[in-house]
Amino acid sequence: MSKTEFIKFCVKSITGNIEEAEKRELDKLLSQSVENRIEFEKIQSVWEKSVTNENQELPDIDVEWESLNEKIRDVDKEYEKEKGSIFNKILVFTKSLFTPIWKPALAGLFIVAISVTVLLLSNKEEIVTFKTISTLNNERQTVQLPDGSTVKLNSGSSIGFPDKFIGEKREVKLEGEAFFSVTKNGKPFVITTENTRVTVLGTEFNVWTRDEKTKVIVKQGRVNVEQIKTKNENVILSKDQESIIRKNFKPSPPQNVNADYLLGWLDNKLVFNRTPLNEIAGELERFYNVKIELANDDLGNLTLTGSFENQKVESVLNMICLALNIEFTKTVEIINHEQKSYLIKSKNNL
Amino acid sequence: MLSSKNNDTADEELVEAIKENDHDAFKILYYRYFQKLIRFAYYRSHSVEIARDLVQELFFRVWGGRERLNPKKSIQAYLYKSLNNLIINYKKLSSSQTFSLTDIVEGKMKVEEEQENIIDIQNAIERLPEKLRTVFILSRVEGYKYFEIAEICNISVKAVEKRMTKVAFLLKKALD
Repeated sequence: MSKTEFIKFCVKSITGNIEEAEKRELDKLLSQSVENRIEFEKIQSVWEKSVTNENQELPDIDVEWESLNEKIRDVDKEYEKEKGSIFNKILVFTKSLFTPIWKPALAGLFIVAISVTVLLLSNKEEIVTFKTISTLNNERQTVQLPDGSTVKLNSGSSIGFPDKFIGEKREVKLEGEAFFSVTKNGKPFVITTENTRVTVLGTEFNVWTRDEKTKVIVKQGRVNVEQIKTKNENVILSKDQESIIRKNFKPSPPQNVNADYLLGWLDNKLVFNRTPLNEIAGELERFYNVKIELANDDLGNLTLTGSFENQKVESVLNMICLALNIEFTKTVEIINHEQKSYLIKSKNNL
Repeated sequence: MLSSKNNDTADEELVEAIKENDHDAFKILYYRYFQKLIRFAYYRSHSVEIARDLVQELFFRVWGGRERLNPKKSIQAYLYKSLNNLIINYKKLSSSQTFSLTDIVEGKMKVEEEQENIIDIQNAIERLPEKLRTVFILSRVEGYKYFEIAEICNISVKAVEKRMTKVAFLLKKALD
């Protein structure tokens, strides 16, 4: 019998997994030689010493259950609230809105829903239905608005608009990223994001908005950009200009850019222009439908410039890490095993 | 609402009920596995705090994702597998992996030489590859039989035998 075989029997015996025939064989081996007995005892001793603090005080199960229960109740309540709120009863939204990923969008649309009910009161004959169209990760969609304008929605984005534009303005809501080709019809076209209002008459431009940050890039014509909270601070952008609106700050002054290059997503490219890594991670997540985590927040501030086309997510990550002198590993995703997930970390991080 | 489920109800039935939002069934499942899972997480993380957080997180996700549970598959295996994933992710995310091994053993041993041995073994356990350590802890701490471990880890009984033999070999080496 090989040594490995012998150890296997020893372990099976110690852990109570040994079968009758094996037990007899092991006993025979142990009675045959002292060395075998020493070996067996050694393994047994390792086993005993491998767990030292059996009496470690474990958390109290009743207390733990109560705390979990509370957490669950809160979540369930919130869910019920969402399902039963008034605007859901008044207006017909597309079903996709109620998937949990769109929670932030929901909050925004509630405001629009109120403004629509006001419109209903002042204009009794017209019934306006609000619609939201959302894209999933790795999915894009072109949406035709009632005035003939078109909107190209990038992955993981959503746009809310009425089935007809009544009143003085054409108003839509945006979460995520979209390229607008707005037709001229005399009424201003207004896009509202979490922190920014973009007003145009008729032109082509791109709006990117996530986590209370908005970037507007103009391809054709002129666009008026203002921070919602500080109304008087506005910036007018022309062709090939960009403005960035951070959380509660006024829009950055117009910066000359190459719009065609920066709007590479329209041609299925990933383009980064001094983009911080935390934003890049988000873009990759939506582009490839993967999950990307950063080991620490500082990494998120590293910036990168470059573009990628027709590449697998891992080779893109490879190049990014090479450029920034960091590294990434594949991790195990708990909820959705089919979705690939990665962790980006600094090199000296063990 | 009174649930028809009690402590003797089979896992499979509990999962069916949980899928139908039966809160009591979920409670029974929680009480059935809490201790075992906490112990498992504790021996992997060496911290009661972390073990508790991870187990709470696990059950929170199980309830949140109850629609997706499959009653035909072993919930026990599912719980261990998911907890294992949580632990692996946690370890990857926490920048330092230095668990204080001396703290664990301190004050527990009378003889110094013995203590050294124990620290050596504990260190060797720490150095075990994840898949070996999982199998080892399921056997050593939880007392699961090989066939049960095979089910939990989704490997063959032969593979469990192999891994356990390898563990014994590596731990034994730590004493040399």
